[in-house]
Amino acid sequence: MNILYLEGENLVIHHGIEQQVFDRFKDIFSFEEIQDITNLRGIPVEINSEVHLSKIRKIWDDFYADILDGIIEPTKENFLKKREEIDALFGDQFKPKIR
Amino acid sequence: MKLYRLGPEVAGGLGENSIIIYNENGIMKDVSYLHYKFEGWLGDELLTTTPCFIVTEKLSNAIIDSNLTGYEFQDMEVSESYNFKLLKPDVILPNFKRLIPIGTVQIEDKKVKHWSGHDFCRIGITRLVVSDHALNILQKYSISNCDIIELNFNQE
Repeated sequence: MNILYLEGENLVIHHGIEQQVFDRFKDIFSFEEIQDITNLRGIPVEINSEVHLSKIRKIWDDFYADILDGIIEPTKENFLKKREEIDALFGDQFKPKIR
Repeated sequence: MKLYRLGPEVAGGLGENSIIIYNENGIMKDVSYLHYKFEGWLGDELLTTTPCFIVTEKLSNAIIDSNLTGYEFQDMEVSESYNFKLLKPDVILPNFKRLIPIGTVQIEDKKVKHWSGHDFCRIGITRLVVSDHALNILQKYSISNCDIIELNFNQE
């Protein structure tokens, strides 16, 4: 994650699919895919970004746990589906909005 | 006796100094040395990043001083991400210890099928389960962002 100053707002920039996917699951995504602008999400610092980011981290962590426990297959499609679910939950608070 | 499945705050992820064990398909299956890199922190003293759990040194001492069973503590490394330093410049992180639960719980049809009898247990590889005795100790410390779900035992 990084901080970006955009249109007068402080935004916390995070990756829709987290960068740590490289450490946890080799060969599912390329570096370019994770760093692609379509995978970046901005959350204004002013809207309690830390609470939202904490919730997003917990959702991803549960997803990783389900993979390790053999409940979910570690496929690119499942990662993209999970990102869509998170966008549906929080996308109206992102800048720009995802939904 | 009651058992509770815990979903602790996720304040960060695996840092670059973690030693990760992979299966033959390149999927992480365990962490032999933990470097926890904080991205944020709501203040809880029990934290996770799958499949690891960490507690503040203060809480680890309380656990050691109790009669709780089914755990090991391991030294670990903690660091702050760039974002953490920007968002929380005044926060000084306490020392942490890795908490490794060694008891086991098996669930079948959403009920406890087997319990090793320890206060700290796992379901599968990743899920933390504690006894009510352990939960009483944990709740004397800050765990307000931890999800707590009571498990059902098999008897009717």
